[in-house]
Amino acid sequence: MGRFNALIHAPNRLKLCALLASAAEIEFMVLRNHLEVSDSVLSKQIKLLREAGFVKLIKRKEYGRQRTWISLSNRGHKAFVDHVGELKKIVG
Amino acid sequence: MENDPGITPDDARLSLDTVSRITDSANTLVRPPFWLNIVLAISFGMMTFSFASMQHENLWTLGLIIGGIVFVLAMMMYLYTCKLLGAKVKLFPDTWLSLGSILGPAAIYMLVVLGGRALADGAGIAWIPYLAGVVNGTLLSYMLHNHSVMKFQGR
Repeated sequence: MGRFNALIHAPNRLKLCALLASAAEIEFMVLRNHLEVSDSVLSKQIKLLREAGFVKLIKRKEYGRQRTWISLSNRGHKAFVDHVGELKKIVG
Repeated sequence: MENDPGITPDDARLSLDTVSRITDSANTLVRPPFWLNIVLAISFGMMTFSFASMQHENLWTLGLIIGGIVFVLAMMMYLYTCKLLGAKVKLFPDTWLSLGSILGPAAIYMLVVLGGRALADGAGIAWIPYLAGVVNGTLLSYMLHNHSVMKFQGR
């Protein structure tokens, strides 16, 4: 059963969720390059999704540098799948 | 945030296209490099071939073991490479569709492995292990290159 989610539906956040749903975790820089957005735009979108409990952000020091990994939470994954389901229902 | 959107079917279709496009492009983030794809395919094909050719602990038992070791090492290298490049592969399915996208090919691999063994050992058809090895190796290579991302939504 689909459920529309206005937070996820915004173009940049929809792309972000689609990308995150495809992998376990993706690094911030990889997300930024793949989505072709600026650091500030991506940070803002992640912050909004994080506040809603849809994404998790983990900072780890690996190979001598700080890396920020982003992933969809279970709640975020469910919301995204539901949202896509609702879009399909609208398309018919 | 969660209520009726009032968006048109055209808008919804555009959004779904975006999701499909991004999902397809995500495949390029997590698929193995070409050389590793070839190593994985050859080692998997060798395991299939060796299993079908094994008889009374002949030399192909060793082929199966070597193929298995190379396959596991190459798979570890694949996961490590992905981590280095900033995208960790999803190892466990999180929807029924993604579970199906794993079990479907897995059932075909298994069918080829067991069918190859049955036909080579039982019916004595000598060329079957070669065919089984090539089929499984090619299929694995194709799946790794084009479908590294588990499906979470239908098209």
